[in-house]
Amino acid sequence: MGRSSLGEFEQQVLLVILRLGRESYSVPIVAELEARTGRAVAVSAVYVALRRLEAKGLLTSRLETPAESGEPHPRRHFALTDAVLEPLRSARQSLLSLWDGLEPVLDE
Amino acid sequence: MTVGGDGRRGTDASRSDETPPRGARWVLCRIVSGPEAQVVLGELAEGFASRRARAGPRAARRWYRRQVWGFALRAVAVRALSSRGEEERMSRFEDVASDVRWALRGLRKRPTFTVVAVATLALGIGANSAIFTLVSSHLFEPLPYERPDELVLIWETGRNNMEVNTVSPGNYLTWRDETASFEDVAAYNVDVATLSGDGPAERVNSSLVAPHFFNVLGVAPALGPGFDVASARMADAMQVVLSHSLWVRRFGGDPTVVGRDVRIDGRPHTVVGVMPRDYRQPERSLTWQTTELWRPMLLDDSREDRGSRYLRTIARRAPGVSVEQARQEMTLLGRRLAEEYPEANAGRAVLVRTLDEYLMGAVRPTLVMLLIAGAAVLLIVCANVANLTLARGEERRSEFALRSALGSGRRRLLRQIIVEGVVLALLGAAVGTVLVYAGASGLQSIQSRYFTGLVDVGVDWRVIVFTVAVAVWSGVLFGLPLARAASRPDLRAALVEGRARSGGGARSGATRNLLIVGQVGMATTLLVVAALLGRSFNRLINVPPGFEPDGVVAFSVTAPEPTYPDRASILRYHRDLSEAIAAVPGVEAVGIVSDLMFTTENMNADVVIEGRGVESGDAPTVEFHVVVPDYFGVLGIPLLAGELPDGWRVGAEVPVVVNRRMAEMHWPEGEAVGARFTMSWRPDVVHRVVAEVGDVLDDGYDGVADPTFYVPLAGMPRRRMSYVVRASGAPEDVVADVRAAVTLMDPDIPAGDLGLLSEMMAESVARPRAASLIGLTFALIALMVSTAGIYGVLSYAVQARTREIGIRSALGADGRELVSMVMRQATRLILVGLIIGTLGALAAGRAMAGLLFGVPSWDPASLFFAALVLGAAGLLASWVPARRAVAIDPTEALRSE
Repeated sequence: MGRSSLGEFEQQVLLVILRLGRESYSVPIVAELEARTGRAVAVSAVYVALRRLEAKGLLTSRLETPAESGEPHPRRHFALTDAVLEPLRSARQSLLSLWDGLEPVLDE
Repeated sequence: MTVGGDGRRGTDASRSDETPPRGARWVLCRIVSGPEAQVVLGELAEGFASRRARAGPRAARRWYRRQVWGFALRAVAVRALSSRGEEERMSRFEDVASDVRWALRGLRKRPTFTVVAVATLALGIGANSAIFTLVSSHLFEPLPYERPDELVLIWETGRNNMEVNTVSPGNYLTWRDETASFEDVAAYNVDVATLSGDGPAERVNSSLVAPHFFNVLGVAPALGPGFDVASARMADAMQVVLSHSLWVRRFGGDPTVVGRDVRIDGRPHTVVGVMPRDYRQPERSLTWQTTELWRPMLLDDSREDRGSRYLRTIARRAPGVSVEQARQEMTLLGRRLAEEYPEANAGRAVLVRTLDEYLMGAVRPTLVMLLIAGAAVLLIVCANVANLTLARGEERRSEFALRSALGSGRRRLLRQIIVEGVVLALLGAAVGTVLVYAGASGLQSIQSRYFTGLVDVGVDWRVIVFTVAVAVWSGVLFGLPLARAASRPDLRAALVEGRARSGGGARSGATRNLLIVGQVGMATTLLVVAALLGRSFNRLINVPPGFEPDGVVAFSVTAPEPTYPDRASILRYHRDLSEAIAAVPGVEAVGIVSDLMFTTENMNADVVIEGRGVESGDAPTVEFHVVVPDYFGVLGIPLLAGELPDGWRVGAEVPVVVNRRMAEMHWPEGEAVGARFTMSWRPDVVHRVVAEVGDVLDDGYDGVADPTFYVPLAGMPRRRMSYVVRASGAPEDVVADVRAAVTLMDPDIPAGDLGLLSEMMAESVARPRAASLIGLTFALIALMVSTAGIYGVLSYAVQARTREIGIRSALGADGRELVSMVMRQATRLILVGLIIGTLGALAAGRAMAGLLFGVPSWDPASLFFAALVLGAAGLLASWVPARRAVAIDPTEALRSE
């Protein structure tokens, strides 16, 4: 498995974190994903994707204790690393190049 | 607002709305664990709260459940991430998944191997599932009564023997009223009743029961109130409870049947209940398990009757009283009763048996034997599939070598082989389970015909769990030899020599030889077991029973009391009927007896022989039957001494006939004829022995001839009698006319159990017949599978030696020499297998000695037979490949490398 290639869902998760201000945790990520894609998202799938992205070095995480957050439970916050820009850029690039010249098809 | 993940706040009412569903949360806690668990639980609770604020509590709860479901589906992945150091575990899961995919792909690529292996496994695993289906119903299905483990049967023993015996009303009432060990004791009896009115008269199995009988069992009628236990007046005795089957058959399942009058044995009875559909009488005999009507038996007036023994008793242990304590109390009570009433009770003991022991005791040895046979077949199957995979493994040597060269560790290879084995076994198990499922109704009929109708057989979750467990176990088992062989693949040999195999290497060669020996051994054991059972069954049905059943038709009738109120009318009925039957064309002779041989019914009496000076308390117990003496002629029972009496007339002394056993036992000097005795329960009637006849096996082929005497019908007229009719031609031809003659005599008295005596006797050996058939089936499967295994291995070995054989024959070795060279190897293996199998058979024979009849467990004939069959099959299986080897053209053989 190539370490740099991104799955579609992983890409979506990264973009959502970017939108949410480079650092976030599962609840807002799920809410934003559902709002943007208009589809129900399984929290478990988001967790698995986050962990996998962390393993690929595209995310880092830190634990927020109840004392810090004022919530009764800990949260795990994920932040984008600098390494994320390269795969996102190339993913966007390859998608755009695939679409290049095909836009008229969509109009029909 | 947010709600805490621990969900311990708020009142009950608000809690159910404000916190995630408890059940789902509980499940989630089981899925996620480790340091991340609090994060997952908390964040999900937070999500729940925000959803609840947006879409309401119902939607939020649904969402939460769906999320938990998602976590469950990704359980392995989630678990990996919720504990750290997860990467490795995660990848292991993915590895196993890829092993499974790889295994499936491999199986698809070799369809012949797959089909053969799956079919063999389906046979082995399916057979075990089927057996387990039978066994588990006996192990796990409770008997169909309330808290059945509390139920016991109480019997007396006969004098001078320890066999179970029925109980007198007086003793039963003492037990019922004076014991502390039991919550309650109820007597019952079996009987055949004639049901008439509402259609043709019909004889049905019936039971006379103490009114509280069903209360002791803890089973209530499905319809109607049942017997009125509180008022036990004679008027209430005219009540009847119907079985579900009788209710449907005779009354069309009419719910208004309760309160209706029916005629039983000529008297009107009121229907007071219908039993549930699955109710069965707690009887060992399959016939009496289907008792179809129950009438109350009022015994309180029989308190003084301690001599006539005709009751069975069932009791429920009081809370906290063990079976052992109950036994102790009954032993003491038995001694007391023997002292108080020595005439009736001296020399007798009381036996307490649990219901389970009584009902299932006879069935269990067969089931245990089945389990063992099934396990043996499975081992043979595993050995066979192991051989197949080993042979296939040889073809895959280069694959394994390449894999380990590319960095697959030894463990990885092992795991892949085991996964392949388990996948294969699970496929076999799936096919096997489908077969068992399809044959479930067949199993049910085997169960109810040969074992017991008391519990139902079905494929349930236990069977599935068992099957999967067996499959996984077999998969590992038959994968092991290949795993062993492959774990140290000789890389150089495999890569450099390529296809130049040298018989698959000494290691796996030895493994395969071992498997062959094991298969032959196991198959030998099974074959010996089957031979033992078959021979024992054969012995059993060839025991001379002391009479000639062929050509005899039998049936029974009951003369009802209202129409035939006294001795004279009963006697007249039987006399007229026997004359009418004798007049039926094709009938040669007619005899009458109180109870047919090979039935469980028996009448016993304590006899006090004149001039012996024996206290009646020490009087020996003997069996007796009431007959019209033509009976002996009809059945070919030889007259040994004296002259048979007239059955229809007796004087002041009742003339009786004794059998040889009784004559030898009590008049060893041959002075039986002329001797006198009385029965302890009617001391005023003197019986004089006028004749001696041959012994009859009354209790079945495996029984012994008990000391017995026969009383002429006129000396003891009975309503219910069985008729034996000898036909001059084929007995089947007279059946219809006999039935018509019975109905013509009295339309209210039907001929019950009308049929051929020989067929009734065959029924009595149904269980041993089943055991020998099942044994034979398993032995045949074992023989087939292991022969195929031997053939497979040897033909593979020959194929691997093609080059060698080619060289040898090019050098001038002749065909016979080559054949014997190949077969020598096979013969050695088969011989070792036979020896091991014979040792196993000796052990198995000892274990199943209780199932055998007239055959020693080390029966040389069975051992010889098994060795012969297996030896022949094994040699044939090796001869074919040997012949093929010789037929190889030397040049071809050399070129093939």
